[in-house]
Amino acid sequence: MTSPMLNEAIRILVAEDNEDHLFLTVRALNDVEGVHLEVDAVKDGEEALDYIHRRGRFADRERPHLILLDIKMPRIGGFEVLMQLKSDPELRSIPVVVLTSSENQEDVETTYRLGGNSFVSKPAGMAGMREGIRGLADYWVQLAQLPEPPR
Amino acid sequence: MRTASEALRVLTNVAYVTLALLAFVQWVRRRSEQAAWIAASFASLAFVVSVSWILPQGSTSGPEQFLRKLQIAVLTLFPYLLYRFTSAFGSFSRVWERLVLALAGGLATWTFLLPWIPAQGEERPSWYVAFVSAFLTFWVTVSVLSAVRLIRAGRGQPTVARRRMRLLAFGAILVSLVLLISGAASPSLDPTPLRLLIQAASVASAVVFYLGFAMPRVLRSMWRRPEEARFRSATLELMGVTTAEEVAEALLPHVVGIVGARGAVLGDHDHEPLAVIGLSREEGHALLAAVRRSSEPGALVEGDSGVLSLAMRSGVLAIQASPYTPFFGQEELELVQGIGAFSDVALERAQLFVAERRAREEVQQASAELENFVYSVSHDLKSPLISVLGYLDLLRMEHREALGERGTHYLDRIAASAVYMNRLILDLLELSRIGRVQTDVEEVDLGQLVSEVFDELRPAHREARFEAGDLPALRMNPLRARQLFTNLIGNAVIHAGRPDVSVRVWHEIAEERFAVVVADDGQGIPPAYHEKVFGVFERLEGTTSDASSGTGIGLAVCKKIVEQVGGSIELGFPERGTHVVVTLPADIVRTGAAV
Repeated sequence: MTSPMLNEAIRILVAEDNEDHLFLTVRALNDVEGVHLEVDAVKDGEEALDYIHRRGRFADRERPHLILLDIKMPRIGGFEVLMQLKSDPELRSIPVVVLTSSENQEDVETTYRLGGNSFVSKPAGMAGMREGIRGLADYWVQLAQLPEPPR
Repeated sequence: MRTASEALRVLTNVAYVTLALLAFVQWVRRRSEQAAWIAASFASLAFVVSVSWILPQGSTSGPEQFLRKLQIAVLTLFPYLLYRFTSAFGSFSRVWERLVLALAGGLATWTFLLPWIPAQGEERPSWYVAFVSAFLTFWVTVSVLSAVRLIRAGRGQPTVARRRMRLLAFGAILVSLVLLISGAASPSLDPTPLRLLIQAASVASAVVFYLGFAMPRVLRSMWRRPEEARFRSATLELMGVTTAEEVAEALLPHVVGIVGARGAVLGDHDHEPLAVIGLSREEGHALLAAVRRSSEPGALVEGDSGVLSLAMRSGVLAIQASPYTPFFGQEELELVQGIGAFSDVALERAQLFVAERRAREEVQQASAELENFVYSVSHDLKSPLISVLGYLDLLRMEHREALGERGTHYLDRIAASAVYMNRLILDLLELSRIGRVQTDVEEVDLGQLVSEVFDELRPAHREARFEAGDLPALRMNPLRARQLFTNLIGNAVIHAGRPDVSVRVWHEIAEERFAVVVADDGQGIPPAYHEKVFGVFERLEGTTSDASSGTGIGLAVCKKIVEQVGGSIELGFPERGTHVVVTLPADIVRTGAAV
């Protein structure tokens, strides 16, 4: 199955406070071949909400097609961001993948209860992160179809 | 007729003298005001009866006349003494006391002013009739007054005390009747039957007084049954309680019931109230404050106006009883002392219960905190490791040529260590999770589980042989069961030290113990390490950071899983190889078809 938006760039927002993880995630996303990805990043939950609501310095940004969300972030945590997004009728169509170093079962359940679309534990191991992100991008961008984000 | 009359006289005399002696002995023992007045009351009656015994009939000589007057004068004192006895239990108005004393004194003086005392059958002059009327009026009124007071005070008292008080009251009324009949009887009547009646009534009054004052043990124990039943139920209740509140709940109502008290309060060593019954909190506080401190445990102290206090090892019990209770209900107080001793035992046991519960909670909390700590630490350790591995990956991918062969080899060693560290962290996370997370229990087919584990291991260990006997089903969490046997069987293969290892799994039932044995014919584990291998990070090979040989947490995880279902795990002593024996509680094993 192919995405109808293949010609168009797919916008991914990564919310991640750990700079190394962010760098590795963005690097891995940029290495994914065959699709045109536009990756943008914010470093805490508050910025993530501002970005999605197009407030402040993110006023001119377009809404992302997919969000990769860390749980443990300063100021506003990932679950709070997830809850706000999924309880907003306008924004809840944007798929959210929780990407975290946690493997806690409670976190998995919380993610899906709040309406998260996927829970992925950050892979460790040689080539783990790169392979993992590639798999993630393959699924969400190439295999699954993404809705057009609300304007 | 005459002999019967004589016999009754002797009996009356003996009875009253005995009563006076008993009362005297009690006064010597108790030294209380009440005991003094009741002793004096009985002494007056004993004197009167004894004088009539000595005095010859119909004598009119001077000394005899004096004795007769003295006898009557002493008789006037009895109602006063009895009145003082009943007054001694409470704070009654002094005015009445003085009035009664004045009347008794006036009558006594009047007696000595009489010209003479007419003998029996003799015609009575009018001045004598006037005296007798005044005397009887005074006597009967004051005695009945005292009797009514006793009867009313007896309400709500313990059975024995109540009956003793009523018997004393009844005795006083009987004596009044005797005097009324003998005083009012016309001398013209045939005196013999009348005298017999009077004497019978006198004896009856003596007996009634005797029962009321010094009740025989048989009667007391018969009438004390309700209180003893309460005592028994109190001790039974106290045996079952586990908290200080329950002790107070079991103790106070029974204490109050047994002594017929208005209320009671249980205090701690500082006389702070722990529990109150029948009183307000303030009254309980005041009652405890009034109680004398530092008595020997078990000592019952009588305070003012019916306040009793029982010193206990674990505190103090203060009872607001009726002032009559200590005098009439001595044995009920002994029951209260008994309950007090039982309560001490119960309270001490309750304190032990509380201490034990607290200690257990502290251990549980410490253990939970430790597990949470391990969880968060291992979680935090994982995050930098992801970065390390990620950058290693990039380094190798983008700078392979610059690194050269040697550089790539170093990189591989760094990566292997980092991967191993990741394994350690994951295992630690798993170990902490076993204690932290409650798991659901299902029926696990052990035979199927073991054969699946074998299947997973076969591709990587083609030379190894796997064999399983009949295995039962277990009631436990399926993930934990899989983890347990994957670890055990995996260990057997990995640590065998030879590729052609033979692994066998079977079960044993011996002495109501159920055991699953995982055995291999590998290099074995020296007995010195048998205990150590189940500790965290214990490995025999040393410190190679090679993920393939395990982290040393595997057996610790196994031990924790087995202990969580109530079993134990240890190593057997085979001639060759290693036997891991997992003993499981019978209630989680479903043998059925498997055996």
